[in-house]
Amino acid sequence: MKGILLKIFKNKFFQITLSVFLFASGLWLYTATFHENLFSNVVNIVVVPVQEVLFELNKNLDDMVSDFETHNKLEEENTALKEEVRRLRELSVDCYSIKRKNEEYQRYLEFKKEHTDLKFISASVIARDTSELFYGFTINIGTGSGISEGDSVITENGFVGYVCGVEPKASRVRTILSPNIKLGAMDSLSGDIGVISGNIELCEKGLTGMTLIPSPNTMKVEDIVTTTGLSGLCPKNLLIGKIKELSYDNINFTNYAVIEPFEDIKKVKSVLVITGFNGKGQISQGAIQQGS
Amino acid sequence: MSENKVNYMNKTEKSSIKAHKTIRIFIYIIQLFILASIQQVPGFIPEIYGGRPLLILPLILTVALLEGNYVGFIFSLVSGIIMDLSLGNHIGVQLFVIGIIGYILGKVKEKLFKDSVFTFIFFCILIEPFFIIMRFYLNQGIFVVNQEHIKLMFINHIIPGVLYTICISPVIYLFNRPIFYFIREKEAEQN
Repeated sequence: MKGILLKIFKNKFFQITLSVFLFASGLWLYTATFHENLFSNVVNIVVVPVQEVLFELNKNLDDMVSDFETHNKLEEENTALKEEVRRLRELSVDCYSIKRKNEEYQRYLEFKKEHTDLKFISASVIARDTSELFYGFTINIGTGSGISEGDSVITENGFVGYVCGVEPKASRVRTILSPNIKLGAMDSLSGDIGVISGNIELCEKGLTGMTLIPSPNTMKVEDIVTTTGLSGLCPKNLLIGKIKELSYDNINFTNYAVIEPFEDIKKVKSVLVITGFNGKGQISQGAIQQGS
Repeated sequence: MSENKVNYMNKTEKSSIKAHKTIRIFIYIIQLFILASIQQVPGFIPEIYGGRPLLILPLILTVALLEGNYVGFIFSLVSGIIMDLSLGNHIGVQLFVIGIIGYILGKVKEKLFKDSVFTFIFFCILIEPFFIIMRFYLNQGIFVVNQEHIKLMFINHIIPGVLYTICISPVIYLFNRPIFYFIREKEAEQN
């Protein structure tokens, strides 16, 4: 037994373990008794600065990694936001377009309510020829949509012109600014009638003329001019414009009025084509009496 | 045996020339439709002093100058039909006039002139005013009642339109010329 114990005590591993145990116990007893940690203080003098350096290093490393991660995240977020902005922008453009169309249809609806006898189709201006002096244009509907030559073309503001040529998918419109148009018109206040026909001089200013006005007449500046509808080619009482000036036509030897159309014909983009109305194709009794 | 070889060579050369010519004509036709569309769209090409350019015309002159009388004539006829349809009245007048112009221009160029920008501009200045004025009269009919109206028509529409077209013409020519020579080089390389 004594030999075994001696052998154990001689064992180097046991000696080291025992000495460490004793040292640790002594240290524990000392600190527990005097509430002082001498070793800790000694160690801290060396370790704390190293720890601080390591902590700072670690912090910086963490920041770097975090920065890198944040950068990636921000980049992703930025791309996603850009995509979102693009989508919203497209959406807002669509919204504006829909809003504009809606307003347009609203106006057309009001117009239709006011003129229940009219049958019309909406159309868009798709072309204006380079050699067009009087702002004639092509619209995107033709015989396929029931359009025929002579159909009146209007907007919610007033009369624009009539269809002078039709194809299956498109139609050409001659405007009231053209000298080639001859449209019966009437001063809605005085009842005096004349013929709407433009010329290049007036067309440049966006105006048209009214000729063959009988004499005497009671027409005044600012009076509103509408269609007569006597010929049966277009409905009556469609607004054309207002009288801007009254004069005498030295070429045709007749009273003459300069008319300012209610619609800006130079900029018109969408129109309504009247395909049917009460009395279409019927020459009125008044017109026959006037002719005779 | 050698005669057969020569015949075979001629055949392959001819088919290569034909193929390259077809490619060029195809490019011109595409341009024709694009230009015919954009010149008509309201607001697409800005108006300058009331004038808008007639874009098809410089293309016709370009093709006639580069390709010669035969292709120039055919291309002019096709373009003439498109221009006639866009006006919708007097169908055939522009087709006839521009067809003749295309043919003569191709022939004159082959006999007298070398292909250059200056030749092109010379022909533009010679032909474009005449054709644009004719087009205005065809479209509007007889509407001018006095001297003042003629003056207004020229000052506010025709002259700006002619100048605009002449100014824009070299762009169309300079766009097509490198394409023409590039395809011609390829054709020569293959033969």
